[in-house]
Amino acid sequence: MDEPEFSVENFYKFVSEGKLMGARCKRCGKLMVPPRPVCPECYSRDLEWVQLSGRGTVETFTIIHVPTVLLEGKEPYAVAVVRLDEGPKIPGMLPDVASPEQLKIGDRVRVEFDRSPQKVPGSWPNWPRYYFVKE
Amino acid sequence: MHGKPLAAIVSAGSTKYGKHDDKGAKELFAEAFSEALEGARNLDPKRDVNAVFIGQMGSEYEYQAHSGSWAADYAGIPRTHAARVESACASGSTAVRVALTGIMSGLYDTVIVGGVEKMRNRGTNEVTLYLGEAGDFHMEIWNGLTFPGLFALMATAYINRYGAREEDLARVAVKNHKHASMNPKAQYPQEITLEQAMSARPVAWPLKLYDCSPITDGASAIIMTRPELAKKYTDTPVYITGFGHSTDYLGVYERDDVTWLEGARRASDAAYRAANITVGDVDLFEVHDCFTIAELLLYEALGIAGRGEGYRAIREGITYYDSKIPVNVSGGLKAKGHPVGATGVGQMYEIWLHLTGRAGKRQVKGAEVGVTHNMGGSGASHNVFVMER
Repeated sequence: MDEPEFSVENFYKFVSEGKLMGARCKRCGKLMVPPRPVCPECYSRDLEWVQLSGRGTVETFTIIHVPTVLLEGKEPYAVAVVRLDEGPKIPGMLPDVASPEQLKIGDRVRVEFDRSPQKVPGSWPNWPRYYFVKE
Repeated sequence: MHGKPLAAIVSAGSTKYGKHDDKGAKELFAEAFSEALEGARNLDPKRDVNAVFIGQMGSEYEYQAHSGSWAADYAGIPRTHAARVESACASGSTAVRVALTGIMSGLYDTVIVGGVEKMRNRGTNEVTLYLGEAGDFHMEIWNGLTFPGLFALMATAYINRYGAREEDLARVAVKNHKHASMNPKAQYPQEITLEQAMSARPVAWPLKLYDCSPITDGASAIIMTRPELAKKYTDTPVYITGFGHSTDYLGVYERDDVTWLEGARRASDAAYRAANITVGDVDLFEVHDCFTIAELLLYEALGIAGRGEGYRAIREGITYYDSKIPVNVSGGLKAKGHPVGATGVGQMYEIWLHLTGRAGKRQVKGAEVGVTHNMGGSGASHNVFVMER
């Protein structure tokens, strides 16, 4: 009872507490990262928050040299799609990886947290950011 | 004709794609519309046109939304049915789809469809953020991805799995620049060499400058009507005989296989089936090469090459305008330019040129069947049309 709303806003609120969280459907078991309020498999709204290990494997990656205004000046940096050990895939930055020689598909990574709100132009989003480092 | 005509395209027009400092979206649309109108005999929009649909992705560029209303006004019919249609980079073809279903349902006889994007008034990092809206903001763009970055994720996995090389991506750019050199409306009609493409600065490794479509101002327009009315307005109508559409997961990270565009396969299967054709019947394709890797993945999804074999098609050169299966004879998004909302309409303008014998130096001789594929975002929506004369 009284679980926080299963929303992206609350996903990033947990990131500010140093936690990578998903929502699990209590009816069919589907794990959703980021969480959603309705299970897209069985349409149940009976969900629970679960903490993820934050460990996973690189499925693919890129090195960004031209970022959006949100990350201007941080380039070059890597972004990988990581298959979490619990199953779901999520994208995440590897701020210390600046060239393709430093990373390969299949590498093991773990999550870290930049817990303070990131500076952005305008008034939203007021989110922190999770990121990955090589194990 | 293989299929049954669903609607007719009686005329089409397009601005040059490129940098238009002294024109905004309104003036660009007006120019493309005017060219289309000149090609439609006896067509009086005030009397004959029932609706205006305009594809446009972004309202941020010029702080101007609600484009259906101004487009209708600029077409001289301020009180009609109209709407701006947004489906990211597939906005233009989605506007065509809205017009087509309106005509097929019997609601409309004749419809003006435009596509437009004014982008060059903004800096590159601003445009990169706006284009990112076509991906998943919460997880992808917030976490450092960009539009080139999303396609780079596909390229890294594709190269790793199938043994393709970065040179194979560059070969797509070389071909499309060659094609653009014969297109007076292309943004970058300069031919390039493989060495130039390979030595260009990285944008999102493994994608380099020439792997990416440019930032473009431009507009295109077509005039569509019920098939039985077509000959009133032209002696050379082109018919839409098939269309297919599919969405897909918004985020690249959500898809099981990032080297495969399932939505494009479903959309093209449906379009070919509706028009009663196979890939072998198609004389030319215009496909959504927003990045060079996309063209290779689309060879596979549209059945031009087998799965994992798209890179062989470009190595063998079979998709040049004078070869077996011409793809992106216009120069593609890569070299003709990619004014996002205009692109899907501009692809149909290109096929219309070929099917009516107006394509000049790049004319695919005797072309009778053309196929367009327009993609939204990183593959989260796809529209495919079969056009025949």
